[in-house]
Amino acid sequence: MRLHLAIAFGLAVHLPAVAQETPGRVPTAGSTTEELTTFVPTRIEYESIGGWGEAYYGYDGRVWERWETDFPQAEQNFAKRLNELTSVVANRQPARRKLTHPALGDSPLIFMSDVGYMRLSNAEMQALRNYLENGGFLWVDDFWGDAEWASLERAMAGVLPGRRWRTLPIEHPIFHTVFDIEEMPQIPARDFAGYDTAEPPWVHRFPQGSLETPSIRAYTDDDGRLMAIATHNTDIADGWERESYGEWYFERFSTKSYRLGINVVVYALSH
Amino acid sequence: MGFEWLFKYSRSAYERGEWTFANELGVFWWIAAVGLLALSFAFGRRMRGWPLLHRAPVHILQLAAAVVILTLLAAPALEVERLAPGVNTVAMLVDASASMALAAGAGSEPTRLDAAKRLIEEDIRLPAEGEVRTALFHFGNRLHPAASLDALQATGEGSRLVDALTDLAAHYDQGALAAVVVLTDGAQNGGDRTDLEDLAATGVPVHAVALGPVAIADDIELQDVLLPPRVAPNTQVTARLVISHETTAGSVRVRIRDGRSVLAAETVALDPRTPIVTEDIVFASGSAGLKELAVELSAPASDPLPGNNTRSHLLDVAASRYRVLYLEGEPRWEFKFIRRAVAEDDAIDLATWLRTTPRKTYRQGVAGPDQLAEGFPASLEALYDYHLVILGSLPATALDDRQHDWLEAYVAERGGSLLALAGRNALADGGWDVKPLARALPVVLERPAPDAAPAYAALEYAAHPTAAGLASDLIDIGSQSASQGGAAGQSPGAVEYGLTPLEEAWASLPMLADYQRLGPPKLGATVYLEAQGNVRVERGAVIVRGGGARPLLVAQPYGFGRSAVLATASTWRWRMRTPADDPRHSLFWRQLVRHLASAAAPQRRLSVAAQGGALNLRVAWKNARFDPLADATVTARITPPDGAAFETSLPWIGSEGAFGKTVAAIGGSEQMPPGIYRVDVTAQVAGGLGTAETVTRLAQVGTRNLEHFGAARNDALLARIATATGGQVWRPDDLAGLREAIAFTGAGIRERHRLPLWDAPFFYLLLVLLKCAEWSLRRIWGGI
Repeated sequence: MRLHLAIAFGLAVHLPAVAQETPGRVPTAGSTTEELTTFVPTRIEYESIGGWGEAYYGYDGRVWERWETDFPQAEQNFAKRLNELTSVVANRQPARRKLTHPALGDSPLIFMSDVGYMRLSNAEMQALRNYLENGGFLWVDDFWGDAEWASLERAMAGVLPGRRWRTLPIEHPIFHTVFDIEEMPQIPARDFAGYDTAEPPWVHRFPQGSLETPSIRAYTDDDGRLMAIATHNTDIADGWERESYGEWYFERFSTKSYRLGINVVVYALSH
Repeated sequence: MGFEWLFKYSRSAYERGEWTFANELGVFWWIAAVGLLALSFAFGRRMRGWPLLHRAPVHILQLAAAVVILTLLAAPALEVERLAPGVNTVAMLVDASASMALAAGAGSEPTRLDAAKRLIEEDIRLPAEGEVRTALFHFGNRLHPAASLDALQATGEGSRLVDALTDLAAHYDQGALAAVVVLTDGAQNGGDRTDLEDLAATGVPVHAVALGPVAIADDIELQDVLLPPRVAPNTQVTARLVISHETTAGSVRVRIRDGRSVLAAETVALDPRTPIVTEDIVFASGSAGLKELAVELSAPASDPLPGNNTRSHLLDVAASRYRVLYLEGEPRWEFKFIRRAVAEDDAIDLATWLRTTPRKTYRQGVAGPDQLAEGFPASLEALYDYHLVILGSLPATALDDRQHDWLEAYVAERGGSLLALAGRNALADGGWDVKPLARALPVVLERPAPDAAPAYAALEYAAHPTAAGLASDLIDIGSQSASQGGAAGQSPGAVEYGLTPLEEAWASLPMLADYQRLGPPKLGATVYLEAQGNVRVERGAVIVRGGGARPLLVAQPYGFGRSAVLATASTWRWRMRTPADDPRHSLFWRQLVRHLASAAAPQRRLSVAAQGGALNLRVAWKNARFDPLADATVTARITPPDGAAFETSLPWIGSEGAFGKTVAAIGGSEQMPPGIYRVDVTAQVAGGLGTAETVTRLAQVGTRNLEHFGAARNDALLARIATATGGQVWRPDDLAGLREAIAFTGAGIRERHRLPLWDAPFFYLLLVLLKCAEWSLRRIWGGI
């Protein structure tokens, strides 16, 4: 009698026997039950170069690593607004993952913040390359000026060599999937929100260059589809995190952050 | 000692004749009976002292001898009808097709035609000249009178045996054709007539002298190639090859070529115990256009007939496009990757309607601002324009009652295909179980109890193809890799466990991550994939233990259309958890979408088949609401290979019968020149409103080397012909009875004859035997 066989290739999962009522078991491969049926905001945990004020900094009475800027409040608020405003079913509990996490591919969109001092290992670059080439979507946010841009560009050159960033015009569909956005919003950190939309140069890596013009720059695949976007000279996630800072802040900044954030998520899930 | 010596006349005479007596029998028989009784009494008295066991056999023998003598005295005879002399014709019909140039026996000499000539000249004895006339004919594709036997050449490009026999019988329409003697190998590779009714109705017996071997040693023949006439570009096509062989060779290499480009190559095992082998070979259809494919067997040098190792086949890779509508209720991972996979298929126009917020939608792939402007198609005609509708995680409340009715009618009446995906708002969780579409779906939708968990949940399990799935193109994600790498490209584990490339392709896919519980499949539904979580890991292999499987991909025909349910929305894992160049996710969706879309009923259906001297057309035409087109003027324009096009109008069964279709045969009895024929059928609705629409098809007529196929002696056909006409099949080395068979069984003009039997040796031998037996018994028992 011939056995019904299946050969497992690359499956790192253990498959226990299951009850007859269901054809499988709840996932054990690094993703939770909810994560596999909902949109889970996923923050990427990475290493940064430098010491105090560079790889980490103090704020609100604690020490922050660069990767966790605005985390997890920004994602929690954003998930709540996604559920309220859109048909996306978002998980209120965000995930934090290293790029080498085996379940990275279960996240349709990964988010990196404050990448001005980011350093990626070869294994991380390989994992990110696989993720993007398979169809994953990367959003990099909250980095300002020329030096921080150059830092991201160097890191990503190792991930997707040969590809070039290009600035998306306001006519690009990502600005219009749900909300028609006519101007790229510039969202400053809360501490600077009362002055100007651009953050002061001294809080960013030297040489800063111009911090005045926000933009979305993108990597595209061979078919012209977006693989990664970088919202430069703006801190979209701060608009989510600080929505309760004040009514004026919500109306002036958070609404813009949410509009762009919703457009990006819907775009990432539909293109 | 033969039958005819013993009984004086042939078997045919006895089979067709009636027993009679020449003398008047009335008084004579009374006297004879009284005489027999007297003799019996006398014998009995003489043997009074004998025991009964001795007396009875002798008595019976004496009586039997008396009966024989009385019979002879009555002058027995046969009443038969036989050909009237001088007015009947026997036609000698010689097969002069190219297959008659092949060897008549196992060796190379003589040819079948030479053997036929020798038989006519030396062995075949017809009723004497003056009794019947003989006429010589030959045939290949057509019947011809033959001037002389010597002039016959085996050059005919086809064998239309039944046509030739029927035409020959019809040629002698005054009933003067007594019989046909046909010398042939029985090849039949064309002709207008596919049955023997017309031939049998002529009443002319056909005597077939069967030539050639029953099997040609070492021959390998590509007996048939089954391919769909039309396929879409860049899709996988399955060619079914039928290979017959009379060899002990272990294998043969098969190639499918388009010009110099090899589309597929495989080695096919030839089992000596199985003379006919069927093999499926998958290849990519490639770009659009008309392709004349060559299917070739690389047979060994010992093959005596290499001409039957290649067949050409017309493949119309039509750039027809399929329109697919995908309605999705929530932005999600699955939506993105389905779109990406299907977008790779040039033949699919995918329009998506995505509900991004409760009040906003996002359209992609639309042809213009009006398409899906109102979300769901605004009219029945607009919905019917799609070949496939995919329903995602869209709650039933998103549509109104009229739209729900349209969806069900789309499948049942328009003949469209529908695929329902899993999701938190899909199927029973989305309230579809109480909507008309539930009738069309291939599974029963069972809504969970209000206090129970939703049917849609996160689960990890393997997608496992069923036997029906493995046999179907619907989920074929492995054949392409098989055709590229074959067994050599398989992993050691797959080879160890004997998995086919397709089984391996499925077995090595990552686990799915969600499942929506379904009710039982309906009668007539087919399960192609199962959700199989009852597995264990052993030495790197995931072993399916059986049991616990639930339906994952189910499909069924419904009305004129087809519906399917896929109880997952996590096939994106097949994309995200495999290498970037792994094609299986894309292949799965392209195959599934293409298969379902192409299964949708076409609005205009035209099929063309070349048969004999005609192109057979079948046309069915519907309007935009898929009602049969009534009162149309339909014309066909035929363009033969030489470009001399002609037009003909087709009768149209219109509104009265509501059929909107016709069947017509175009062409005459002449053999159509081989080549590619283009057929354009144009329909113009009565009244002239609306523009005429045209559908074009191509048909291939004829096959090169036709006579090299089926070249062995076809006893079955010859026996059918002989049985149907009252003739016989004769072996070349036993033609002795042919003359009498024609004389007594012929059609023609006949006379009644009385054939005396009183001098048949049989009676006298019988008499001697009876008396010898009686004498022996009496001597043994001492009574002589």
